Amino acid sequence: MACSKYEEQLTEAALAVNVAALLVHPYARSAAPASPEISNAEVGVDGTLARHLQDCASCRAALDERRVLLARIDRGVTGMVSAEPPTALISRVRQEVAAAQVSHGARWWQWAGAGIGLAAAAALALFLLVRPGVRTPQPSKADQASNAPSAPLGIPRSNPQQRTSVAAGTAASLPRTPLAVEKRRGAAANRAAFHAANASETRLPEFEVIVPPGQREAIIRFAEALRMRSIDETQLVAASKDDGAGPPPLELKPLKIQLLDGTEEVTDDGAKANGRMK
Amino acid sequence: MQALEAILPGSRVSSGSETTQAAREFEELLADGATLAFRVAMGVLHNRADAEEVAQETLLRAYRSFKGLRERGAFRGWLCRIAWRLALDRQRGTRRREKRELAVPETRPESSVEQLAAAGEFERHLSRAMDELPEKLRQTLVLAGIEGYSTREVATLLDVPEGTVKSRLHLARKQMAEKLIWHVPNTKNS
Repeated sequence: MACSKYEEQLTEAALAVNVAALLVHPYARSAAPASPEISNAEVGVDGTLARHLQDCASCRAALDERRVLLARIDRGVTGMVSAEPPTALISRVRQEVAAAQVSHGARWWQWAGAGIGLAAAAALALFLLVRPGVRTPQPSKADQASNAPSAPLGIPRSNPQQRTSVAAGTAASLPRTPLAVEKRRGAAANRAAFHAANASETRLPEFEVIVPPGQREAIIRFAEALRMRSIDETQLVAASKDDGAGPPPLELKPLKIQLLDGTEEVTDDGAKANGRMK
Repeated sequence: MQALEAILPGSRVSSGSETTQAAREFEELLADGATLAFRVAMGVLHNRADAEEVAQETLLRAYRSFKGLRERGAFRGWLCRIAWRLALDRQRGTRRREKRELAVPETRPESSVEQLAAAGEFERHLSRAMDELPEKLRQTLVLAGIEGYSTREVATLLDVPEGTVKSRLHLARKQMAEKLIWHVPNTKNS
């Protein structure tokens, strides 16, 4: 064990030159004198310590131990930071760089593609909003020829009024179709104006009505009558409007509330009535 | 650059743009930069896998910002700083994780330096002592420890006078010795 008086000086002396470390780590070269013959002064050992070291074997041992320790530290640090990187590192970085370049190059096209797509979608939406609507789908001829009771029934339509008439007569029994929906959407006045505007039409697209079994003949006759104008469809519309077929008005009867025992009821004129039941 | 062109034939890399020039220069610096970044990261993290990831991230970041680097001669110092920051960030995250998962015993082993070294204990304590150094001393010690770097080169990397590097190096080694003095047998801990 070193003398406590020289503890710090021993460390400084060991730091000033580290002979073992000179051989293994580069930075000690710049911190140490270049001469192979190292004097006490050059290694940081002053005269007092030098004289003490001549007489004290434990301090000489302590100095040597510190030098060994520093050599280990230097070797450890150097070994830690002198490791070679794996060869795969550079190739991975090259691939990443290449990928970054590709993505950078493709970025412009990605943005351009997205912009074109958005513009096309906006144009389509605008067109769908403002175009003159054809609101009923057109059935195929093959569907019209079908005789199955529950199959779509092709009904020739001579003018738009027919849609209203058929729907008015079969609304209760037929499932909801574009025909029925059309009837609900339009008011009678609007329809009249629409019909007047389209009076010159001689042929309109045909449509389909799905009818329950057993009503097919009736619907065909009804549609034919409309087509031949043997039925005044405006009357049908008026009748459907005026026949009061809607639900009866709701009648609310006043509730009778039973009073609890001992409670007083206040009548409209301010008098209090005491009773079990009104 | 040939490597990048081999990967990307006909791409923008081989077009004669400014990007191409930057990519070519970066490619020339890549091998040396990878070694430097890896070693700096190793000096902080003491772990090959982590250091490799940090080095890769460092080089990618450097590549992204390479065009903005006006002075190409400052590349190594600039790369060092990026690697240092990223490694410290990684180390902080790792430490937080380790603190949660296990507490490292602070007990002082009773074995000799040789036994400790054989068991890898000395290296562990060395790493810890390095981590406890002030950042400037630690940075200087790591860079000076990289083989082939003189104090002048370290001064260039850190952009400080050479005397500052020597002073920091002396202080760093002294503090390391004081922290690890108890590894010396028959020495009373100061």
